[in-house]
Amino acid sequence: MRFAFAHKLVTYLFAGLGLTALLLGTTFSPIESLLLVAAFVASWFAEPPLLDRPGYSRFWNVAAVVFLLIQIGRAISGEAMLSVGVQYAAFLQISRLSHRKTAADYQQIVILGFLHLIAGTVLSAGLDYAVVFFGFVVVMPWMLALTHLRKELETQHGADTPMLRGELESRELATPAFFGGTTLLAIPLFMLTAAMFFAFPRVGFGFLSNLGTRTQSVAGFGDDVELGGFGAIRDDPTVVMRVKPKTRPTPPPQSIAVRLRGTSFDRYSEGRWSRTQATGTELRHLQDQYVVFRPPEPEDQEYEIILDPMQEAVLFLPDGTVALRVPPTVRAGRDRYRRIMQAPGLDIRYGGRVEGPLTYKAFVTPKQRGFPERIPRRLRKHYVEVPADYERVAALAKRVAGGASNPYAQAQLVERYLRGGGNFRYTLEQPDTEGKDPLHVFLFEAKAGHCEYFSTAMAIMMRSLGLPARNVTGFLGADYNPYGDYYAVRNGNAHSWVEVLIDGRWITFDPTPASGQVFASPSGLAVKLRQMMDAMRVRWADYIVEYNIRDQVKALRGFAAWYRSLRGGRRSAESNPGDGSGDEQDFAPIPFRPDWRWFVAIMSTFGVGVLFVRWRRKRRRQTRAGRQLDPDRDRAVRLYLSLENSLRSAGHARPPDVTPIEHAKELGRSGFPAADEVREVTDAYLAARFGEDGLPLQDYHRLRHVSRSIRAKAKRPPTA
Amino acid sequence: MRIFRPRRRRRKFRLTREGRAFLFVTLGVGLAAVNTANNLLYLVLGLLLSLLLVSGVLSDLALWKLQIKRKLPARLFAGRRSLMDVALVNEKRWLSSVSIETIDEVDGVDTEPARFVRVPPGETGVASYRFETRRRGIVELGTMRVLTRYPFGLIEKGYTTYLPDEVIVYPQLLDHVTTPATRPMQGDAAPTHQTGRGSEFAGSVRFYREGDEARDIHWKRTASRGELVVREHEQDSNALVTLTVNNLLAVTPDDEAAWLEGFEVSISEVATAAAAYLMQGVSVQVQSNDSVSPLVAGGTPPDPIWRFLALLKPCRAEAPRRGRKHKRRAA
Repeated sequence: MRFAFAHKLVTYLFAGLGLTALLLGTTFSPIESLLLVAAFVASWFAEPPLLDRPGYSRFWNVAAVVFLLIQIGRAISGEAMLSVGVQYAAFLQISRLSHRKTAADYQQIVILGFLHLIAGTVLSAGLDYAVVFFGFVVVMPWMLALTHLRKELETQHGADTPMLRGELESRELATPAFFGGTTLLAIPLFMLTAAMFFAFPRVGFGFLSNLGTRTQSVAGFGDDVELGGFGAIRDDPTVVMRVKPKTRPTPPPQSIAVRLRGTSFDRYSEGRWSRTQATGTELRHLQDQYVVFRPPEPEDQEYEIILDPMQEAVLFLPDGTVALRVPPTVRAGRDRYRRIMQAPGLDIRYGGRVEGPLTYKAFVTPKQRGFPERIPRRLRKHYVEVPADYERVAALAKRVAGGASNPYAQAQLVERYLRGGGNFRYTLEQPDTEGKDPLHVFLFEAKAGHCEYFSTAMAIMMRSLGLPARNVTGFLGADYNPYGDYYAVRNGNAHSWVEVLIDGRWITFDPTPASGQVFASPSGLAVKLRQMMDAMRVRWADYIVEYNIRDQVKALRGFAAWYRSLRGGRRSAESNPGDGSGDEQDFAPIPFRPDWRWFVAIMSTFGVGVLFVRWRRKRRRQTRAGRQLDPDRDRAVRLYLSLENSLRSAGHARPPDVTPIEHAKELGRSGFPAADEVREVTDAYLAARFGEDGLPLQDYHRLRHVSRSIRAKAKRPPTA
Repeated sequence: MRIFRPRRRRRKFRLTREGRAFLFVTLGVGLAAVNTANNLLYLVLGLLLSLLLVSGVLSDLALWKLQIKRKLPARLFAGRRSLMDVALVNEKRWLSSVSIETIDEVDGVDTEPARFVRVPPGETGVASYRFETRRRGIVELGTMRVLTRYPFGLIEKGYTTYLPDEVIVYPQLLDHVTTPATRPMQGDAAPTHQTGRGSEFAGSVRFYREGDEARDIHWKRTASRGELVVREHEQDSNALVTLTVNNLLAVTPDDEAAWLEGFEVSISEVATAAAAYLMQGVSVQVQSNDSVSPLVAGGTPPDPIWRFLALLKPCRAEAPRRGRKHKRRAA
């Protein structure tokens, strides 16, 4: 492959990965994303002679300034800073890609790509970032090596020379062996990265964390929900939650009918359910165990739930949950227990931010039938509210449940009526209401709808009978993922049902016909791939995103135990339960608790180290000079080095075999504009370095300024 | 006595400008990771540090098993830019050595680098650097630094190898110098050499000497003998010219620097004139105040004369001895 083409290809791979890291966040709208991709593709075709036109460079320079001003304006007008900054970073990369000529341009593309990768860490913590990251691990050695080689070639042959063009067109550098060898570099690179990642002490202080973790929106768990919201997501296969029952049959069934309750709504009006805002109470907890109704008992069924970040911080709990176990976050080596709030309507939400999936455990009692809940007096009336003009619905309720003697039987009759007795059928199609009340259309005209219609109908019918009832949203059913050994709950499993207050306990009824509750387990290659991806996503979150100092301590202890077992201390390792892995050591004290004092200490040590290295370097320089230089002579040496730098920049470097005084004379003879300054600095250097004159600090600074000004003076055109 | 010797030369490394920027970014990411406790930043930090580490190891590999040889040019003139060749032998079996640079040290001063973009395994690459000195005489070549910034240009690693050598820099040649016509010399003063740069082939051959022109090589004889053999030409004339250089430096010169400058100019003139005479077929000899150059037959290369001139140094006139005063002993 030609060097120039190989470098271009790799550059686009690298820049593309960087831009993908930016696109992973929610900062780009679809149109902006499309524009970005189009600009990225268009920049591929920017080649000489277009690049050599003077107006072309000017256009991009002006565009960069104009776009910066626009973004500043947007930021001032209230646009999110992160979004504005990310968009500008993407623009800069497009600008560089459209304007790549020399190795310096390619180096800027590398720097921007790195910054995009870093920015991606706060935009997304998902598996998509993992894919981008591993792409970087492979492409980065290619990119850095090729850019370095291009720079070397430019240094050797000069920029834009026929020799350089010949080298860039040659096929001797970018050979398959080169790419093969550089690709193999990804292996040690990956292993070293992994080793360092796991070895770095997690002394995170947690300031500025989680600037933009992507969350997903799922209808039905906000403050209100409109009828029809669930229908839109019924076919969405996105996994939102994973459930791991502690005890399950072997082999595990392909799907389970677990009902995961989210939140409930007490008020219904004009086809919309809403929740009365009420201050909740914090759940009592002992360390990581939170009591919903009672502390967990040995016979309780245990479910581990891995919940993806959602816009609503709702904890989804299986029916009959009595207690929870929510692990604390670890910041600066300390456990920070989450606040779990319970609001009326058994609305349980977690506090604090999440950087990835939230893992918690629910303890479910096997024999509970409904649950009691104390509702504040002022809210009780909402549970029996029926909108005006619902007499027809009330009449229907009386007709269906009129024969029943007790509330439970009434609820059962209404449930049976909706599930089959009333000739209702389940459909995802929205009934055409033509401006009428959607519930009336569902009950008396269409007689078809999805779970929300059924649950709403039952809740309102029960309220018409005088029984408190509420609409509940959550998820029903989960499919087994053999790659991750858990049950995956998809967006499409979102469901709606009813809770009726009977004898002081809220009892669950699901009026949706069976065809709306049971879904065939998906199969096929695409599903298997999706399952594999999801299992990887869970592992990524578990091992990378959620990795903390407690895990490090656990791993170290495990390693120590393994080492002892190798040395024959197996018995002692077994006799020491603290060394094994298990729940009992999950909350063992963290041996290392860094706080701000640690931070100051580390930074101070680093600063002292830097000063020490500088001092050592100075000593070495003096030793190399053959003697310990006194301060005046040392200053003189630094002064002359500064002069040499300026002369080199001005294109008048001192040849190796010319003494400083000869060079100064030669510059004077050749009419160098700053010859007098060069002579002045040279004389001062020689007098201080080899003579008896000193070089006071004041003179040193003045002459340093003079030597720096030489570069500018040399480049200035002579005045008439 | 040292029993264990290090098998390889001590490597030195420094961060390049790009490397310093890279380290700066790495430190920034480290700081951000500590601040935010964001594990993905720790991951990026691990990657950046790994790149530095891998870069250090690979640059070591690029320098591994290299042999450096210097190839000196046949003639070097003061004030004229020449190319010095450096041969790099990559003795590794599998790995190419990429982006290698050698920096020579001439009289304690670094020269321009000679750059090797890629030397495949088991092969030899030749690169050259431009060399120019304003001073004639012996130039000492000492250590040579071998450097690489491969693979990422972040770290410059290298070692110093000792390759002592010396090269004679001939005097600066002038663009034009007058060469008065000469007359053939008769009798004992006539040169004994009968060959020279004449127009006619003398029919005889001799072994090649340094400075002989390639066009004089007798290829058939060279092939049959296995050694370079050149044709000898009939000398057109038997003229001899003796050029003189005044290298006597007065004991108390008024302006020693000016005298030395003039001395160098006169050496350049003589060197140029000698070459011109020899081209004309006139034999040349150079005489200074304290030495005489070899007699070089016309038509032959002027290297013996140039070498003599390159090494010619001013000699100081001895001060007249004062008569020793004898003190009379007191009675």
